Amino acid sequence: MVVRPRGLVVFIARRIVLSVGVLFGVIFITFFISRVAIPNPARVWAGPRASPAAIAALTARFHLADPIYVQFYYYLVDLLHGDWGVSPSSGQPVFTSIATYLPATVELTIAAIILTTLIGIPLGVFAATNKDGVVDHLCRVVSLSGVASPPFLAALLLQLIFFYFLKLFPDSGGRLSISVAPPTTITGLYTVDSIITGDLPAFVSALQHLVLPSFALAFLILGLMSRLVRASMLEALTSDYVRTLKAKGLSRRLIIYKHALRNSMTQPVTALSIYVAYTLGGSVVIESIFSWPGVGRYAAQAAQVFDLPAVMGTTIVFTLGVVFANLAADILLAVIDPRIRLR
Amino acid sequence: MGVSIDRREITVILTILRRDRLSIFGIAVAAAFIATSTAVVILGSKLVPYDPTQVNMMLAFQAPSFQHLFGTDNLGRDIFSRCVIAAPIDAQIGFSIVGISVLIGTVLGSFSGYIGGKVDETFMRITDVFISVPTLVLAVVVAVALGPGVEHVIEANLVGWWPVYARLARAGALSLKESQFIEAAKVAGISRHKIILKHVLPNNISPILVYATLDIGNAILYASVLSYLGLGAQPPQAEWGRMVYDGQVYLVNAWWISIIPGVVIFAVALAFNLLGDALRDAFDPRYRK
Amino acid sequence: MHPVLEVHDLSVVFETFEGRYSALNSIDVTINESEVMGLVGESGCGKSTLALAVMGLLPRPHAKVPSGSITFRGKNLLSYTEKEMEQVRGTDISMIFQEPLTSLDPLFTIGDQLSETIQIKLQRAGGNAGWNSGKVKAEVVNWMKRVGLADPESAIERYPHEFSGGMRQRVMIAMALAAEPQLMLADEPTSALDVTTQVQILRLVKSLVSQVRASVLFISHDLAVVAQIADRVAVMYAGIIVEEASVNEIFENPLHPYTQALLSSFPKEKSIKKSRLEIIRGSVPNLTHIPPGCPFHPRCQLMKEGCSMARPELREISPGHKIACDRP
Repeated sequence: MVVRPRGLVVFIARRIVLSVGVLFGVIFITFFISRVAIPNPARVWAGPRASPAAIAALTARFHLADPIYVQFYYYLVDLLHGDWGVSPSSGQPVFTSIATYLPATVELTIAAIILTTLIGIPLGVFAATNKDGVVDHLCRVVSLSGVASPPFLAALLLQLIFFYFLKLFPDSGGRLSISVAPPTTITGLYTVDSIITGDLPAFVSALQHLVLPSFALAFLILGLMSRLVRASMLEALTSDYVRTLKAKGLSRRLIIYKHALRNSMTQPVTALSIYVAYTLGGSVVIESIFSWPGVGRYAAQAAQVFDLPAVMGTTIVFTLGVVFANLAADILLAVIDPRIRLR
Repeated sequence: MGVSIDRREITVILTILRRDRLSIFGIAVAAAFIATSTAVVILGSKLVPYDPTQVNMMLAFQAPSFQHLFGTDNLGRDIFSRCVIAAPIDAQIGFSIVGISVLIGTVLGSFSGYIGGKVDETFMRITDVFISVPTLVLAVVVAVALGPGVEHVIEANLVGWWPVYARLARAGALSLKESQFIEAAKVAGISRHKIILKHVLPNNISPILVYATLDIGNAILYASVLSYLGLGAQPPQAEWGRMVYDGQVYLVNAWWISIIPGVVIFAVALAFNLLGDALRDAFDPRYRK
Repeated sequence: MHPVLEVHDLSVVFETFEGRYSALNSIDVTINESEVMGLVGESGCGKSTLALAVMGLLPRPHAKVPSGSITFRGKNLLSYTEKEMEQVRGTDISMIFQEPLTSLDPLFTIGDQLSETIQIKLQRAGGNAGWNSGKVKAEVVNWMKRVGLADPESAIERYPHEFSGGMRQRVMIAMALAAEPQLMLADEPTSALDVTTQVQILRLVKSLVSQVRASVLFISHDLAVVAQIADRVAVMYAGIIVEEASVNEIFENPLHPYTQALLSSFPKEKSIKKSRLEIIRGSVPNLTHIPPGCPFHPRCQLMKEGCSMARPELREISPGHKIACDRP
């Protein structure tokens, strides 16, 4: 495989510029909603029983009396300085809270996507190579269930069955058992950190706690990935180049796993940002159920008490996540498909 | 891509739908859902065996049985009755979100696709922004900003929902732009607006309809998640997502309180998905032969 | 003359939504060692089906072989299992196709794809004794030179989409001949190329094939193309072979009405101003409704009553010249 650096760099640079534009748009929308969509935002933020002085203070602090573009300017300045407001419900600065909870969500999201890939790709491949067979129908069932399932249902059922009934996992809450100390923080991802520091008990405990919530999340996107793999695979298997490969006398295994599989990866990889979007959205519910101390749970708790700054901060972070996923997908695609990087 | 519907096509579609067992399940459940919702709106509590708001601690935590099909919750209320009573809320939210999104999105997307050029470019960038935010999170943030209430849930979801239909409509408009009868209409001097509304739009209807059917299931899912989080319908009004949340605490000893409403949501969402799938296959020209 | 491939009484039927149609109807064809056999006919007459049948690449659920045998090296290929056919493909019988633009895997370099063929050849010849990646690469570069690719050393690191149609077809030819098969099937390999490239490719195939000492079944709808490369020609119509002879015989002494009509419907070089282009009236029959008896009879100038009753057999009229017609 040959990679030409220059084309790749230009390609990535262009995508980054586009992503910044998208991010800007999202920030503007959230800003717009919080200021313009509701009349008298200061009164709403201060709470139902606030004094006129408190409301006046808020008005001054956020320049609510000024024209909208001035407000937006200060808003941007604040954002870039890491001032994302203070959450009325927790009393903590939003930025700090999110920074604290972020690694947990990152770990969970990555675990969910790895799981989805490990199960979804083989599922899609077997469904395509044994079309209308048992695996194909299983694939369809899984995908339909995943799409139609409310995120809390899978999570609750998993908890019920594996934790309460089968007693397969130690305790259901959090990222580690109570008796286990967290590993030294390097990345914030317990599994990675415990491997790096050689902390075996922490690794085992972290992994055990990771299993159920990442399964619950993976379930949401498993169907989509396997369906994309299946459809691409079916197309690849009837293509002209596969016909040539057969005429060359290549074994069926080589044709499927060396050639057709790689050619089938375009659509599933492009959908990476969709997986991340669904996973992050689902994490709001699933982290709450599993008491996973991540940004999702933070958002859920904030939403319950109508805490707007906290939820807005979450929106920005999650959008960043989707944007990164888009970039990652583009890079992956350029690695897989030479036609893209040589343009 | 654009296929217009006439009576003959409807017959063909119905024939195909009747053949597939799963799609029958989908139609049946979806129809039951709509019928129940309508019935509740008209008849109210008279429809159900028990008063959904009646608290009776003596009857609390009863497992599902013949007397209480879905069991009773922590306050002794019959869960089956509460589920039935709650149906219209999700029906209203689901159909409103999809219906309004289809309207807004299709019109905007058709115009953008047909007009093309800078307008189209800008429009695409705008939809890009909306699509980059996880829809659920966007709905949550808007719902939190707007405050509690069912209408706010609808509005909150609309923000993230319409871009998909805009894109679908735009794609259809792009492909129709070059077609013969559009050329004929232009030559005949029909104004651009009329062309878009009377010719482009109706011919793109089928893929949008198919997707919209699937989407009602999604909309109901989102509505239930938002009310699970405490936004939208407020207690004591019964709502499926809310019931799941309230029942979580009792998961170990009385799983039916939260699991059963969850399954109901799943069944309804699944029904619309199957229906949409079947419709998609029915519209696929390869199947018709 | 040793036959390499003997097709006897071969019939192939396709079951589709529109009905059952007969692509090949009791075909007899023989290809000898080091011989280029041209197979000519209009689109839809069944030529590609014959090639696919030999390779065992007929679309499985739809295609059925109700009768016939395909004998290669003394064995009937139709009785082979899929695994056995795999062993034959690429090294004993190879095939090149019409669409060079889509026939190569876009994600692998052409060097990778050619070395696949060479590695398969080595495996089947019994172990890769003494062959390392350096030797394989040298062989790959060698073949690239032989098919006329400029700067082979760097070409092998490039991807298919960086090459033109003609160059990709050269790569395909290299892949088809690198394992030195006994028989190469070429299904309209030049039809998608412009005329100048066509001539180059035909010359290349002709010279390589004689170096490697392979036989070729060269399929084309274009008689002019076949004339440049074939030793013998078989003319096909609606699933049957109507005439078979040496290339000179076909052009100088065509006996079947269809062959005559084909030849007269394109200008001969000498009388290009004087000859009128004669169009064969009628059109190729839909293969679900092949006319009874001789399939050509509705369009035939010489048709008489018996032609619609019995299908004429392919008979040798003069040494090496067979036709399927009851008229002359």
